[in-house]
Amino acid sequence: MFRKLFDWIDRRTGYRSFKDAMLLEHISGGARWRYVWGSCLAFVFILQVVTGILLMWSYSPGDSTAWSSVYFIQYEMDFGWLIRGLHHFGSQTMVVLLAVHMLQVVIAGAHLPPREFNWWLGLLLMGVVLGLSLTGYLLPWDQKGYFATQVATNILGSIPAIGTFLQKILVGGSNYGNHTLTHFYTLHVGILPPLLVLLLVLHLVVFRRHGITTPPVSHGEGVLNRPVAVVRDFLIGGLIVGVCLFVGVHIVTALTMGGMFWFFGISRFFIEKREVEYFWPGQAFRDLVACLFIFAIMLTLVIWGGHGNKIDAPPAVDGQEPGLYDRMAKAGRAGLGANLDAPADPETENYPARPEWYFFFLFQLLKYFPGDDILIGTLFIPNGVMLLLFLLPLFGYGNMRKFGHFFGIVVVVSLLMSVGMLTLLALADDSVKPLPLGLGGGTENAKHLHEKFEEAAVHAKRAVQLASQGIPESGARELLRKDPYTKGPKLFEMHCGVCHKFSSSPDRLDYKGWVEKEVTPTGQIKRVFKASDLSDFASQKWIRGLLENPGDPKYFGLTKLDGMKKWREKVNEARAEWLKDNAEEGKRRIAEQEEKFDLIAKWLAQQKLPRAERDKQLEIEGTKAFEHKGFGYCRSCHTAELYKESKKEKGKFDYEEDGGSDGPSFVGYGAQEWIRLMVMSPALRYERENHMPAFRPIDGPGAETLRQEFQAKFENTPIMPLSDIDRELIIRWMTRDYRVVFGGQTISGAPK
Amino acid sequence: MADEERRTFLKLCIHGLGAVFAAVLGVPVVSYLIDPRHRQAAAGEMRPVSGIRLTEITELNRPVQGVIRDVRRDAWTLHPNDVIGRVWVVRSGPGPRDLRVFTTVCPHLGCSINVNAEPTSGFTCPCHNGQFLCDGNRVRRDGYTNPAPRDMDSLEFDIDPENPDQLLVRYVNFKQAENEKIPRT
Repeated sequence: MFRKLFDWIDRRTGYRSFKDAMLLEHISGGARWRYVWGSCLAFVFILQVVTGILLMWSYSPGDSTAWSSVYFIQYEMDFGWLIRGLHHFGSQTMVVLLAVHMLQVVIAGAHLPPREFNWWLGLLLMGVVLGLSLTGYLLPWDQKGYFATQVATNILGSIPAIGTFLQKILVGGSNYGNHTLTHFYTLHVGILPPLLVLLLVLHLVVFRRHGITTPPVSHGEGVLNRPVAVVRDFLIGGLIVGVCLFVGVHIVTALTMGGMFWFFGISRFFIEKREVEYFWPGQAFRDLVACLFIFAIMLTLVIWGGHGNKIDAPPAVDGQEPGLYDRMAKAGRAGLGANLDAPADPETENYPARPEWYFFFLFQLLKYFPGDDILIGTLFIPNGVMLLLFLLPLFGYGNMRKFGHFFGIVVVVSLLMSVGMLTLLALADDSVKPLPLGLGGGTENAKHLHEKFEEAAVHAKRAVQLASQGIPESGARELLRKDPYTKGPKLFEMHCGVCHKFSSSPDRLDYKGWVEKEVTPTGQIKRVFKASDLSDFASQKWIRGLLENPGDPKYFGLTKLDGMKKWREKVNEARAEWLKDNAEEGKRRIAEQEEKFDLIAKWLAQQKLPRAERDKQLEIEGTKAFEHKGFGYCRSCHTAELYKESKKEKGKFDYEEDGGSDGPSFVGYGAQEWIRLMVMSPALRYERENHMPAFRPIDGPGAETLRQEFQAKFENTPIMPLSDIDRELIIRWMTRDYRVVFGGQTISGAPK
Repeated sequence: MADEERRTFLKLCIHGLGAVFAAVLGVPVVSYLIDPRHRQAAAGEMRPVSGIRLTEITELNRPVQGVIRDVRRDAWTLHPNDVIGRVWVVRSGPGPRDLRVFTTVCPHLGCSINVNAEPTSGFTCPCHNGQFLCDGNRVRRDGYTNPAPRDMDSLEFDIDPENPDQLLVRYVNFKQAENEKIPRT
């Protein structure tokens, strides 16, 4: 029945003769493994088209949406990590295969007459592939794409006469933005791929006209040379594994790559050599096997070779653990697949921009040509090399053919070796560890750069973590701009760190605290601390330390606040008296007092919590200690929320605010509201002696009114500018509340 | 003959390997394409209606429009306080709970139903001229074909026990072009 249907179709379309024309390509000398590379390239290209179209299905090219949509593909959509991973590593695979294909073509002499056009078409194809790589690198609109691609467009801009104009047209203005993305997107999906298809068809048509180039040495891989060929395949496989492991490729990927060649070798024992064969099925089988090996290599790269960032998942809803399908479909959340850097943000200072590794050689080349010579590295050398490559076939005319062949091999091999060497040098320059063979690395600059890479990695990880809780309409870059965890320390350093120290703390962002009296290269003293160390301010330990020694520089030692210092002097005097009167009894009383201090510290540290969350027994005991007159009587200076039994009703406890006003209030001590009042109006906290300026927003329509009102009341308190959002970021960071501040609202709270 | 067998074997291998590859790539591809199946409609919780004060709606059969706001997730974007729906509120009697609450979404094909120029006469959908009375029933009369497959979609409501002005509604989007109210998933 099917037979009849296909006959009917064939009579009307002639598809069988077309199929035969396609498949029954005559391969003189028989099918060989060495002919697979061109097909592999075509295969990966088709895979790129398929995965690329799938990505288009969910990608949104816009300044505020591009990163978010890529995030969504990578972390939220079923198998999005796999599709994007294959596309990401597909581009790298194509570049590597291009090099292999090119090397193999010159070794076979396939660029020589009469195949000049095929060589030229191949070079054009290479240009298009590199163009696709370059344009694709920008599309996620993450930091690395954003800053690395600027280098490329600036190179375009450096072309004499027309560069500036071309750059402006391509970028869509003077700066990167919405139209840069739409332009690169159109190039990447609408212009370069059809161009590639067109060139590829021509490449194949011309190829079919001349047929495959048989190896120059005609005995090739014949039966007689089988052992040689097997040994050679095994050596190539081993060499590849070795090189891969040396440059840090994952062992599974390395073994798959080596395994491909070992498979080729082993297969030679089973496949009988033919002298005459058609493409179908002998060569088609080899091509398919090689393509599947390439696909397997790409899969291993996606699974083991990516630098994706994990997302710490929220606890499972209803206690249901995700099943196997869910874990595979959402493996991006476990860190599998391609890397996604933090969202592009032009505000970033000193982002360490690096191109994709296969452009490292061009990147490295630029380092050798300073200033006026820049065009040598950007324009003359790369284009000179391309010109030389274009001219290669012309060296094969007439009796120059042997020389042409040899020359082609020399040029391409030295080109690939130069590329490899420059890539290695680029890696070495960035390496923290000194490399062997005197390749460099280990410099101070590399170490400094490494810190920048690490900071970028922290931001990337933080960005996806925040994005998993929802992205604001204004775009994903707002997440990090308003993230207390990453922004808080910087803002603290800028606004508060002039006077306050903030010692490091292991649970925070890798934060080392600030160097005291840092001296800038010009001899200026950048920072002299004048106030307390606010690390873990209002914690039990902090308060207990303050009670122990208020004059320590960690507390009020650097300030003119001496209320607590005087209090402690009195305590010390009293203790000396006790010991003088009766050593035993004195020791007992001191120990008792120490216990009271511990209790006070514990009680005061919980005042930052909402009333409902406080330990009620501690509230009762803390209130008693606070009102205890034995040692200096806290409530004579401080007001607190006292938790006491009602006089009317036995057993019923209630809160009552009471106490003195010479010292700061203990109501909500250390809570965000307490700190906010301290920051905006420090005189309300420590009225007489306080030297802290008031940090207030000075912009906006009501600001001047508020300023005058404030100055009328506190004429001695200077005002320093600090926006609402920056203040909240600092306060949240200090109190370890790492929710994103968004217009004063949190949007990263648990979504409904 | 041996050659023929070899060719047959190779073809078999090609088709087999091709099928394996198609499956390895095909399953993730299809899963990826049908991923929106995971994006559930917001749960129909009781939500406050803003823009109206219940005690001020005293006139019978004069529809008033209210707005329902909530968190809305649109793929990656989280809208913290977005309009997720609108309702028509009609007083049907003197008691505080004598109310009718309808979605403004037409059961025909989802345009938003407007109130008539003379409000007490009911509603008309501006797209395909579906007409409804103030009690939400479809208008039926000679010479007029009502395209709506069902009456306006009424919603479950409640009044905030602490605030007689505050209407609460269990807002649900229903499927269009069905004879019954079927919630969208």
